Amino acid sequence: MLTIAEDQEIAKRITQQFPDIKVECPLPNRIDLECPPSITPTLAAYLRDVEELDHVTSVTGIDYPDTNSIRVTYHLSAYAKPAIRRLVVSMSVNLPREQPTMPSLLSVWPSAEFHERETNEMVGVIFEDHPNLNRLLLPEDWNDPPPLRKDFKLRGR
Amino acid sequence: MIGRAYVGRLSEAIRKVAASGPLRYVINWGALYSLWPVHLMTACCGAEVGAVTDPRFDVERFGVLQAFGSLRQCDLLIVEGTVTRKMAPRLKRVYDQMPEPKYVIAMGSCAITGGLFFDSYNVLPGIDSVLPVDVYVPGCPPRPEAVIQAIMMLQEKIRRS
Amino acid sequence: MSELVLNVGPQHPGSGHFRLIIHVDGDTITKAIPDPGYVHRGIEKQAEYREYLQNIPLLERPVISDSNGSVYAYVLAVERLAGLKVPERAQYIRVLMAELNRMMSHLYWLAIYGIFLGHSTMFMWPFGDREVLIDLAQRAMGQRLTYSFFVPGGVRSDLPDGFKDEALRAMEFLGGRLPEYDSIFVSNPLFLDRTRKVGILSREDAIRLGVVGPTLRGSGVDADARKDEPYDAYDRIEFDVATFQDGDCYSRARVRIEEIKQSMRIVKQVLESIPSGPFRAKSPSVLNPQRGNVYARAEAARGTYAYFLTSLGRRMPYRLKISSPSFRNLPAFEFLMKGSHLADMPTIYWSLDYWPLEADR
Repeated sequence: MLTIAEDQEIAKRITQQFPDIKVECPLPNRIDLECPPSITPTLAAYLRDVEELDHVTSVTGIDYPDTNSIRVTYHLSAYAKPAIRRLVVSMSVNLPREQPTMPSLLSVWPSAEFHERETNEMVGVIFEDHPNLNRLLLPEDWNDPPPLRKDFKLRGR
Repeated sequence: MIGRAYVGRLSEAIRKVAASGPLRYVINWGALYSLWPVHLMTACCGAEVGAVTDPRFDVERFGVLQAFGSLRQCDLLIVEGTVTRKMAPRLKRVYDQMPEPKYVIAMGSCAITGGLFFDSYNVLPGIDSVLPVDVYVPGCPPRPEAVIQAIMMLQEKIRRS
Repeated sequence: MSELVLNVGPQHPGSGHFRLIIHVDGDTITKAIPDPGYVHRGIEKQAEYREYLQNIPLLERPVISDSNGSVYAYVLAVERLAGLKVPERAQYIRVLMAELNRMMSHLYWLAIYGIFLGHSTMFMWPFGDREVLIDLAQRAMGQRLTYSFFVPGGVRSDLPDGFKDEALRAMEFLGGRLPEYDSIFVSNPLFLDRTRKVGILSREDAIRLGVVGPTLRGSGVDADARKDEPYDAYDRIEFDVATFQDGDCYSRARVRIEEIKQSMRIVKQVLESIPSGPFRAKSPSVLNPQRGNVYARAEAARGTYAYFLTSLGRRMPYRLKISSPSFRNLPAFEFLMKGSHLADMPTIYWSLDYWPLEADR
């Protein structure tokens, strides 16, 4: 069972290893990281190997048309090490709205496969080196923009 | 010559005899007391159709048997819930494969007008545009008693046809 | 031998609409590609156009047999964002209702497993016994399956008089039924033959694929959100996390049956020790939580449900991301069915308890 002090311990270790990224602990059992897209593979490998966060629980894409960006957030958690099961680390990346590309983290965490595929078709983020970025949930003949973008409005709203 | 003309029109003659009168009554009686539904667990209302076949509500006493053989021998299609745009062509395909006479019950408000998901980008606003519906059952989800009442109304409709 | 591609199509006599594209070589499955999306209703997009309270009926609908389990994490997320403190009595009532739903969902799973394996008695018995629990739910919450009972701040109404006796009687009845299920189904030599050593998921693979729920606990990992990050009254109640080591379909079945027993244990403890007091915190019906993100998780019957809620301080959420257990169990299909016999496909399919509505949202 973690306490806030132990959260801070882990946060400090991450800051020491990666001094340029933003690290915050707003709520108990949560650490929020924010980093540029280029260092996500290195940070991901560190989180998996050193901090032992072994799977991805979800990948979210949020569209912010006011700041012209799309924010992709990975939520990571651990199964193998019972002491940190309480912790959920979120890793966020801000991408430009016209060209939302970032490296896929499938090679680090195989559990991200379907989540990345869904984020691709719902928000339009392209994950480089993903082996299978095909339609998952939407109909095969979908020709409209990605539904979770803010310029795609629902019928009558 | 005359014999051949008569034989050529035998199917018409049978149809005319069967269309009304006592033979029609017997055919209808056979159909309405053995309505077999296709197992199409569309959406949430499927849980209530499962409940309608359980020992508490027991729809089998009305002749409705969950025949898990094949949809080629079923004559009732209960559309239980939301039909999405991806599923609509497949639903039509299932309906086309059923033999005549066949009947459709639209169960739940999602099958009637789109229900709670009326404004979604992937949901059909009701299945009227895809299938000809005989009975509509409102509810979200309708109680099993309502589904049984729908089946009884369908039986009444067949009896009168 | 040449390969044949089979469509276990969207309409199949089992669970909801879900397609599996299976490549078969003789009798062995070489590839099993899942094709979800036939019931994708766009709930995440719709949630952005509804207020926080209006989202509750919407979010109950994905898993109708366990509707409290899917809404629980959302309600926790909104409470954390809005700073609402839930009174103790409401916490205990929520735990009680969530456990009743867990039992209902596992009985439903058991019944459909009976159909999948061709045991029609095993369909009728659990479904009939589930009606006893549905009666309890009707008594307390007014509806059979979709209650809209959990609200941010507590629950919508208090437990009725006489509920405790009815519930204890129902638990006793169900406790007497479980050995009967055991004798006709779980200890049935045919069931043992069909599920033992079939669809084996090792501990390392389960962690690597990121599966959740009884699928994970059947492979030896005792992760359960009720113990890992306790919410409401779970840290004051004693229960065990059902875990089995073998990783085959039989282990997963035993996990779920053991969870029914543990849920009965929790229900009895709650009924004995529920405190009195208010059942709902004072809160406005149109909530305007502060700006921020929150990630909350709860353990539903099929696994851990998690919601990532982003709010900009308005009365509707800016983005609601739903992480459902069935979606997270999707990689297990391809992994487990590869190399197995074609006849084992239904056994493996339903041992994962895949609910298409929940995966597609």
